[in-house]
Amino acid sequence: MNEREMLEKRISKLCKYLGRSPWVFHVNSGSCNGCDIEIIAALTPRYDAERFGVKLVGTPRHADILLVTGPVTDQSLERVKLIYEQTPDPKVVVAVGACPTGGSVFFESPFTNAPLDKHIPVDVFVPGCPPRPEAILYGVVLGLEKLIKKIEGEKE
Amino acid sequence: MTPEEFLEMILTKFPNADGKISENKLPHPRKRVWINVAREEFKDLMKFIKELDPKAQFSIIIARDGGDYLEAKYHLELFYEQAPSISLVVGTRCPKDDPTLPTITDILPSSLPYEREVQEFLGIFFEGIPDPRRLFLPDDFPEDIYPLRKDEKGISDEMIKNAGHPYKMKKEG
Amino acid sequence: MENRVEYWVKIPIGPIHPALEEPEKFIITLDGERIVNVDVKLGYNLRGVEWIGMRRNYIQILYLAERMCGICSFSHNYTYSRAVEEMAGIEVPERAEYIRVIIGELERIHSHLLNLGVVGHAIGYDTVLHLSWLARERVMDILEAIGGNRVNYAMNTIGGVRRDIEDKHKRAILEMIKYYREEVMPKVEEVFLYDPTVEARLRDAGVIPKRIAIEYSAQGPTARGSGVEKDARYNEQLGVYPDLGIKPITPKEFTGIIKGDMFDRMVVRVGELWQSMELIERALDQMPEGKIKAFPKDNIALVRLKKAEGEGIGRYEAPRGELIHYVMANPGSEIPERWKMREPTFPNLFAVARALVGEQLADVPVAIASIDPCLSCTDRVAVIDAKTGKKKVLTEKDLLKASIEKTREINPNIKAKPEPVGGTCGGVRL
Repeated sequence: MNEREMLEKRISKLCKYLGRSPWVFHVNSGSCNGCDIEIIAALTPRYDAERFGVKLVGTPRHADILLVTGPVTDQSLERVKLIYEQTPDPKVVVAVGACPTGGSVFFESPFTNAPLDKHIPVDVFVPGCPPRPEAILYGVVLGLEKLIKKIEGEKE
Repeated sequence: MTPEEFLEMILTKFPNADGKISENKLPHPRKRVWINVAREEFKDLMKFIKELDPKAQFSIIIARDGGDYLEAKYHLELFYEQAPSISLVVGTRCPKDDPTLPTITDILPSSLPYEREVQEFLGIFFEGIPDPRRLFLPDDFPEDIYPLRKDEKGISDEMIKNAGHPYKMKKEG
Repeated sequence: MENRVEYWVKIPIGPIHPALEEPEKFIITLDGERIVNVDVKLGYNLRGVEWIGMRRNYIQILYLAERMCGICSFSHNYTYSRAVEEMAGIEVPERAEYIRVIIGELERIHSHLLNLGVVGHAIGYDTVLHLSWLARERVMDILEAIGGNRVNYAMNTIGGVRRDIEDKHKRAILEMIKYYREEVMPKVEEVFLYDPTVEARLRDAGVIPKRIAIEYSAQGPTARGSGVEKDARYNEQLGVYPDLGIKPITPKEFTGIIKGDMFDRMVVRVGELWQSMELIERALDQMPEGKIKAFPKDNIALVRLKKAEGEGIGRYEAPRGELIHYVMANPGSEIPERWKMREPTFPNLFAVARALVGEQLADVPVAIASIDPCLSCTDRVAVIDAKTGKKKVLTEKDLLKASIEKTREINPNIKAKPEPVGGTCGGVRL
């Protein structure tokens, strides 16, 4: 069984445990949109995350997982914090790409505020410029496992 | 019309300007016309160019801080129906203690967003501009700071936010 | 007058889901259903790239320029190296010129397929989105095999290209072109040229007349769809393009009428897909053997550039229009004195903002998607219209709903739901 099938088995097991599939909301904090296109390509029929029920929703109030891209620019800082507060608990934040991790090529500028860790708590970092769609799916899987731990932690 | 004829026509009408033609080393070499003119004759020169070709396409304003003067260059493309077209760069200067230039939005209306951007990034004021608001910078950015200047009105060291490059980070203890 | 209604609209430009209570995304003041005035507010993606560029040397700016835009990254790389080569008088070997043409046209194919999917989604044809993004994956596989990454592969360097195209790549490219010609293009033409619903929806909507396109210097398929025949590869006699036979494409060759509306722009993109495939085949035939770089290593290039002086301009036709870069040298230093660039969506946006006056609200998302905004640069557009009165907040879902409703009036079999799925590419300037 190759890597891809193992990944798929893990995702379906996690979805069954959770009871429903995770819904994802995507936030762009000033990126060049390379990572955003890879996120959407992860939902098209080639890599196909939609068959597990993972889908992009239009409002953060329905979301379980937040995907954030971009070096956090000055004018988008407020939006990112606002969206973080609007998402209901329990939630998981995944930082996609090299920009929210450490700034990438924009690390020294008067207008960017990378890394994302300084402003909202982050659970998973996915490096790459841009990361492959399979890598983003793997990051979402790791986020799902953390989400399950958080839900179990609440039940106790 | 070839670039040489075009440059002849301009230099006969404006003898104080200086112009040259540069050629690059592609398989089909490409010529560009570069003209430098003083601030007072600038608007007349643009009007003359617009009469020569009413369908001139305007591309970009490149502005630069040159020490004690501020320089702005305008790139235009004329006669776009023929191949090769004429690629023209017109440059003008103004001293730093009097940073104003005439606006050309009445001649070429598509130059308005470029003028707004130069105004907020370098501090050159265009007289007669119809819409002097800010374009890219946020509204709460301080008034007197021009990010692309190299003197004291540029970005100071405290305003730079460093995310921490491992080789360049200053050790703060 | 009587009741003015002011709508504060969040417009779905790009993959930003505007479910935020922030009023300045798009302020459309409507007079009944018609739009009166459009204002543009930018700056969301301001990262300070020109300020950063004042502190990086010539080779580091190659990588910085690439990350301006996430989908036309090769175009920025190429135009910047053209500008530096013109400034320093460096000559590029001929095989490298042909490789640059092939990679540039491959990028154009995948960018146009992406845009076709986005426009299809905006009018309610969701299947078009999934099929065209699936078809696009073949091109990405080939680019990954040649370049090493799907996006941001840095093929260019000053004086040539970094990697060569070998025989196995050549066979893969020819197979891919055969697959596109037989399987993908007939389906694309069926939807965008011959389908009566799409034609009824896109015809006579979002019209940019030729006079406005010339006055506002529109670029790319936006200008060619209105009848302005200009193309930077043709006007500049760039590289080896004149040997391969290139002309600007207008809708006249496909449908015979030019009106400047959204339908015409899609026809221009379909035509450019055909032209790109022919250019790639001819370039693969004519490519000579030889070196691919002028300097064997990058440090030697830096030493040569330290002594250069003067200024240079590079222009190229990206998938969205004309890109222009300017470099000025500082003799004796590795850091250029000034670097400046401008991406093609900037003038296009002002042209379409002027053209949206007098249109309906349902046409706004499709009109913005049809100029193919390299998003990031134009994320905020505010439209202000006349009458005062109530304020209402519309979200992306409402706009998509209005757009799909309008399509449903024409063809009641559309079963799409207004789900936002993200949008166009990105690419901001600063």
